Amino acid sequence: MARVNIKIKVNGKLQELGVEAHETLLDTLRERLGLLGAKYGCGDGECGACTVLVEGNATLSCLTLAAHVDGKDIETIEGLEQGSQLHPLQESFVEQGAIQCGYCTPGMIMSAKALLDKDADPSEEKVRRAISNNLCRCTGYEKPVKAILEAARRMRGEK
Amino acid sequence: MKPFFKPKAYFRPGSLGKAVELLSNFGDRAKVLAGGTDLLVQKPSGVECLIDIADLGLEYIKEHENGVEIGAATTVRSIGVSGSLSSEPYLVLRDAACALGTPTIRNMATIGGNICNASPAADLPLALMVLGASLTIMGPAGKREVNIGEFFENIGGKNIQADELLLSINIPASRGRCGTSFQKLRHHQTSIDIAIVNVAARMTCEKQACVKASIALGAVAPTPIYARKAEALLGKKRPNAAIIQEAANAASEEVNPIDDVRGSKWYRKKMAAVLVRRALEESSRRCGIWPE
Amino acid sequence: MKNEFSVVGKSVPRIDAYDKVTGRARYCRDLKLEGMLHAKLLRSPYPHARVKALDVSRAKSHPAVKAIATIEEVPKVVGYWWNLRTEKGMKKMFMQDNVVRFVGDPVLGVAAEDEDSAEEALSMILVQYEQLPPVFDPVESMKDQTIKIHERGNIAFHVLKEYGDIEKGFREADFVIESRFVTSKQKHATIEPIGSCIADYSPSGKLSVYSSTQLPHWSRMYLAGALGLPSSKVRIIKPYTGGAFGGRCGLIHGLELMCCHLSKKAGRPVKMSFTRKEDFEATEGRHPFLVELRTGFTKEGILTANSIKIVMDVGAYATHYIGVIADALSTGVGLYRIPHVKFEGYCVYTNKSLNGAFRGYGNPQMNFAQESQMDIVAEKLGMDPIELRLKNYRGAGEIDPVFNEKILSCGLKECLFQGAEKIRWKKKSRRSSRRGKIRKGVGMSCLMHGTGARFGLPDPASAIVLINADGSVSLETAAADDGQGNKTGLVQIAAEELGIDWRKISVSDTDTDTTPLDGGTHGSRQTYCGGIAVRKAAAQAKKSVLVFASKHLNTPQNRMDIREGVIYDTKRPSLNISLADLMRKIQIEDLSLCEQIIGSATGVAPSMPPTYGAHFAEVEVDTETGEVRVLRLVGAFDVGKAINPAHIEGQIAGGEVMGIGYALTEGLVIENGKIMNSNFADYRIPRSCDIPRIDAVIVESHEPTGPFGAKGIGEATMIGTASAIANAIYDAVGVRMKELPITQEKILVALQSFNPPNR
Repeated sequence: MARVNIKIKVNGKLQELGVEAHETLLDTLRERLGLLGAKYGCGDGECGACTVLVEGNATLSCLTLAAHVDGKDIETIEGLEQGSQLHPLQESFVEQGAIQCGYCTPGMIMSAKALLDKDADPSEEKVRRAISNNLCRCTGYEKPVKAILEAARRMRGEK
Repeated sequence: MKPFFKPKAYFRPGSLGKAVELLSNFGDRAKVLAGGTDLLVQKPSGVECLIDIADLGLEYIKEHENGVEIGAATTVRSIGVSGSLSSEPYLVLRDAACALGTPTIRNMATIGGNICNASPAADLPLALMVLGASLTIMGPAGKREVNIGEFFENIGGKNIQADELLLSINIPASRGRCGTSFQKLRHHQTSIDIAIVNVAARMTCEKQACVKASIALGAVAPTPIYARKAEALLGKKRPNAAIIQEAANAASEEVNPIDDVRGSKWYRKKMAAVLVRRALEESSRRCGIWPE
Repeated sequence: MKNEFSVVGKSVPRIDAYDKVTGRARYCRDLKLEGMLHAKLLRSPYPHARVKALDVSRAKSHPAVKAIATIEEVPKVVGYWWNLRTEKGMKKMFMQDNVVRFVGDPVLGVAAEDEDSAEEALSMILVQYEQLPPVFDPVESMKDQTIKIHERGNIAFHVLKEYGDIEKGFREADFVIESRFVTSKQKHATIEPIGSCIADYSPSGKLSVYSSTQLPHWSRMYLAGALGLPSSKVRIIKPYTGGAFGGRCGLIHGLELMCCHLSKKAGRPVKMSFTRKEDFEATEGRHPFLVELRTGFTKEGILTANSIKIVMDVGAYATHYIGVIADALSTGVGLYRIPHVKFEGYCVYTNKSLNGAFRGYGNPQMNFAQESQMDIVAEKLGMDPIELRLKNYRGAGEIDPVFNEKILSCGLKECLFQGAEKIRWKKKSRRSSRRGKIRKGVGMSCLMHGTGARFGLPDPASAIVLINADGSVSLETAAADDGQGNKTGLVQIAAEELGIDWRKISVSDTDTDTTPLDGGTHGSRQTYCGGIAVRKAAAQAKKSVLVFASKHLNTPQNRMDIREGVIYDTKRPSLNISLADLMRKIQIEDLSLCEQIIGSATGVAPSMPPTYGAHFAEVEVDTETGEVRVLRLVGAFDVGKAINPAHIEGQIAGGEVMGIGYALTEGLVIENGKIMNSNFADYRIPRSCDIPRIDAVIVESHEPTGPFGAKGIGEATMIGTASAIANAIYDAVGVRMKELPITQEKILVALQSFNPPNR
């Protein structure tokens, strides 16, 4: 089995890996790098539990080949906290009670981050669309949407 | 033959020549990798190698005096937000792009992939059909042009060989005033869904009359199809409610949908008429000739 | 909502939120044990067949394959914890034969070094099936004399109960209405797919199973019973769980027992994780119901008689069936004060994937039928649907005839009034002209759902409160938290009772080795049953503390209390000592004591108090396409006392959204026993863009038997959504949709086939 050598930056850290031709980015993150935040939920791109950022864009890692993202910048949920300081999205999810079982949370937060990094003041509709690939069975999306809007406020420096 | 998707080799050619050479060598045993949003869902068996088109310079949207050229590896998201496609008749392509999947899928999916997956329910091909687009395909013998209307054959079949690569999509500039529309019917307006029926329409107008209509429907036949009888009813007339309804009914007669888990034949035929009517109404509005 | 407590009634953040939001929470699929093997199942392609011969020789010689176990060795679970009550019952809980009864029914399992090798090995196995005739329709199955899905025939259970005299009831009626309703097979669709576990035997033969089961102690007993081990040699460890809603209510068909057998054979830990497809196709779903109602009522709107006949599709194996039909009975009979009721239920086997527990158990199905029927009755009388409910519901002080228990708290009236006001019912109801292409309408429904299973099943709850030498507290409870937040709620209850900062309490992992007997998380029971146990244990611990404090401060015990971690004399507050200081003294400093404070409680709750609720829906129907857009949903629920209001709001939003799916877009499509939509593209659960404005109304009626007045909520929030939406559709377009899911095609067919009455 020929290995493909790739260099990817994951949460700011350069990783040099030999991956299988058919290996998904999800498997690389979970099995090779021990980053278990991105999850298997369906394997066919519908649930979004595997969402990570590739060059700042929300991406379904279960449908992305590791080899395909050679040379790219990858961000996962594990990269959000700085030391003991949570990212505003993480803080507001906790405070707003937007987490129930938590399985969809990492993927949903990454989708939200991709939005807020590009659009500092999105409408509620835009937020809902940004997380429309993130299925949630517990929360009904109410509190997560509130939390994302609250995080946007914080990131804009508003009280 | 292994019953699952486990290609052993991955290539990322830096030139079109190299890409075509690889396709010639591997033929049926290779798959082109663009965005991966169809390939990695289907995971076909018997694939020995993947040929990634990321480094072939096929990601672009170029405006020129004769129209717009879009590289096959251009993401659906880029198409959806492109300034080059923000006026008629290109709006139909932009609308189709915005109706496809989710924002996340649109980050990854490509126009080339959506065309070459050749699903009868695909969104972008319908827009391209009413835009009269042509495809530039490259093989070992060189380049050739195929009109989008001649690209799809039977269910999932297409006019491209195993040793060929789709390079670009060429949309001719419009001669005259146009109005377009893209309509997509999903289940109870769920935001993300494969179409039960989808329709693209374009009206080219002169003064207050429609001189040419183009109507394409998806998910109602083995391939995306033109509603030729419906189109004929609209030419060289000023559309009114009755004419539009007649055209919609004619379109419904022309389609041949199946019963499947997404919709019954009966429902699809009925909805074809409703969506064609709505598409023609919106096209007329955008063209400035509706309401009367 | 006024709140006189210090931590109960506050929306404190969840204790596990930090783990989940940083990606640190470990779910079953994330776990690895050293030397672990991976298992896969070979599943039947036929709906009904006998396995005649198996050739596993090629698979056995695959270098990566370490064990194979077949269904002739591994029993199937065909019961639930009711069976645990007797030896005979225990034996009836497991069955073993070489027959497969649904497409996807496991035939054997293979454990190999990695998943791919296990998959390869499966393709090397040859199975000879003798196909047997299948039956898919439950009504046909009931009647069929030739096809026997199980030894005892196709009717798994039959129940007939009468209250009063049904014929008399119909004689007393001015009107009688008959209707027939059909509900669908809904799937839990938890974002963490159902079906993951690791089984591991220690060298001394102790079995550890990492499982997301909702019922750690019952599942432990099932495993012990099936494997012939004492319970003390079986340990269930529950990691973080990605949702349950009843889908993990026991053992999973083909999962844990198979892993145990493979692990025993291989001498190594074995992990198996189902794919999403396997989750959809081969794990328990909601029982589809066929409900025939015959309802009699007077012209004043008083219900006199109700005949309920249910045919329930069990699928290939029966696990929760008796509980589900009993729940339909108790909720169908319990809500309204109808003097003459006849309830008949048939639980029938079919050659399709099995059904089990799912949020609401049998209530959402019963409610869809009953609340649609109530809407029909209201219309016949020209009466406001809310008024009809007010005239007939059974409220506080009345006796529930199913359990012969007095209802001690009932906030249904408040739910109806507040909900109606929130959605502006008076302005919107019956206002639809039923003209135009897009038509709006509003509908409502109400519900009751018992908290826990006190009168129906073994329903223990236990807790141990340990006060540590530094004044911090360890709470031991087997409350399985699947995302509801019950662990946080129990911490709040313990903190309130003890009088300390909730942040000083940590909760044990859910591990049957260290947590006492608990009935698990189901039936909306943890806040109530678990809360009662926690409060009792905390009270006992507090009492022990005060005994020591009284000696130390030389003050009578009955004058002492604890607040904010300080023990003080209520008559002279300056006389005090911090809990931390006192604990250090008695646990470490005083060499003659060294006593830890341990408070414990175990047993059943005194009651099964019903939670009440009302749903209000506003919809818009596109009469050209049949599409329904839900514009607004209001869910008003009487929870007794909201221990954590944010949790309740979360349950309401989540439940309503699940209810929208149940009403409009969900349902497994099964053709000739094969599931046609086993993926999220074709099994549609609502997404963030599909959600209307959802308003949550919390009513607190104060349940006297509940901890600080609380009762359950987990299931109630989706029970009446489908009926409210169906009633709203009727209001909008005048067609009565009696089959779930209410697809747009069905609406279009209904609109085309007759002219609905205009207003």
